[in-house]
Amino acid sequence: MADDLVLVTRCLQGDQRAYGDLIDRYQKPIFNVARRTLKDDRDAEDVTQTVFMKAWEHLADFNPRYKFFSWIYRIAVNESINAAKRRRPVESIDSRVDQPMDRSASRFAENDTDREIQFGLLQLSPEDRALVLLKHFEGFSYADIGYIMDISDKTVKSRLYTARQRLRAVLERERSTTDD
Amino acid sequence: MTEETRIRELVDAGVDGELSPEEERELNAMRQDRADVEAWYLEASALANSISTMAVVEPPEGLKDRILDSLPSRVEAEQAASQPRQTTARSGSAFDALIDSVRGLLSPAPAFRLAVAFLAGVAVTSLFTIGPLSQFDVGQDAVGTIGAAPGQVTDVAPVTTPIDGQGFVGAVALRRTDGTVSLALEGRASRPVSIEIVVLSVIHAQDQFEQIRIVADGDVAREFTFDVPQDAGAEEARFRVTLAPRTSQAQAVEVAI
Repeated sequence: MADDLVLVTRCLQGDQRAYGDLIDRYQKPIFNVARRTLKDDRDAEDVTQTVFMKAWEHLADFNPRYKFFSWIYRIAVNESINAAKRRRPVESIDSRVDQPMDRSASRFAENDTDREIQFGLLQLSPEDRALVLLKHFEGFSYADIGYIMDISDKTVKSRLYTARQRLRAVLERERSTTDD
Repeated sequence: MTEETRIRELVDAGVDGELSPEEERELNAMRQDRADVEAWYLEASALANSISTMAVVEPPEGLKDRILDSLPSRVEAEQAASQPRQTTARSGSAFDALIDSVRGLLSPAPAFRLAVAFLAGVAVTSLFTIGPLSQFDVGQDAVGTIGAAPGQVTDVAPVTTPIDGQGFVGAVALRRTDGTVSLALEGRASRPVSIEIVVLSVIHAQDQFEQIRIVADGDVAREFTFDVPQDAGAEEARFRVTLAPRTSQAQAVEVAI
C-alpha cells in the first residue's frame, strides 16, 4: 500500500484515483470525529465532504514534514468546530422549533456508558469537545493535537485538563440525578 | 495553581502517557503513598477508557464516490485555492452594483422587508471580481442573493423562495430572530451538486463573510444559523447560493414581501 506522501504526490499530478485511496484511508476517522462533534450524521457527512474538497484544493500547501493525517485532521477539526457553532438540524423549513437535546435518545450511543459520555461531551464547547476527542477517541499526542488545534503543547495539556474536569462535573451531576 | 490542581494535571498527563521520566517517577511515588492520588488515577483511566471505546461507525455508503464526483480538476482546484475565502473591508463598484441591485428589490420604509432575487447576466458577472465568490465561474454558475435583513430588526417570519436549476429543486428560507439570521435549505439534488452559501454581514462598515459548502446528492434539509451582533452595529446580512456543476442558464427569479 502506497504511503500518504506518494499518494499526495500522485494527486498533485492530477490522479484522482490516488485521492480515492486517501479517502478510503481517512474518511472513517474524519466522519466519526465530525459526528461526535456535531451530533448529526448528515452534518458530519457534509463536513467530511467539505474537508476532502478543501484538502484537494489546498493539497499543494501540504507540508510533508507533517503527517498527512494530522494535516487533514486539522482541516476536519476546524470545519467541525465552525459547523458546530453555526448549524442546527432542521426538520423542515417551516416547522423549525429549537429543541433541547434529548439525552436519553442519543442515537449515537451504543450503551449506557456511551450515552452518558456522549451527553457529557455535548455539554462541552466545540473546542473542548474536539480536544477530548482528539486525545481519547483518536489517540493523538499533545504535540499532534497542538499542531491540529494550532496551540502549544503546554496549552493542550492545561486545556485538556480543564475540559476533562468539566466533563467529570457533568457526569457526576448526571449520575447523582439518575441515582435520585 | 493549587497543589491539588497540579497533581491532578500530573495524573491526567500520566494517563495520557505524556510525562517526562522525572514526572513519571513523581506520580508513581504519589500513587503508592496517597490513596487519593491513586483514586484520581483510576478515575482518570476509566474516563479515558470510556471515551476511547465509544462506538465507531462506518461513513455513509457512497460518500467516497460523492466526494470524487464533485472534485474539480487540479488546475481548477489550485485556482480556487488561490482565491481568498474571506475578506473584510472590501469596497468597489462591483460590490456596490450588487448592493444596489438588491436594494432595488426592496421597497422603502417598512420595518422589515425581505427580497429574494436570483440575478443573471451582467449583474451577476460583476459580482465575481470580489471576495470569496471570485472562485466561481461567472458565466456558468447560477447565483442567487437570498434576502437582506436590517440589523436592528429582532424577529421576522421566514420567507421561502424556490430554487430550480443546476440539478437541484427545492427552496430556501431566510429568517431573522433576535441576534441571529437563519437560512434553511431543503430540496432534492438529482445528481451531486455543490451548493455554496455565503453570508455577508456589514458590521461597523466592514464586510464580513462566512462560507459554507455542501455537496448534495439526493434529499437535503439543512439549517444554518449565524450570529449577528446587533449591538455591534450589524446592518445587513445577505446570502448567496451557488449551485454547481454548471449549467448555462442562470435564473432570474424575484420574490419580495
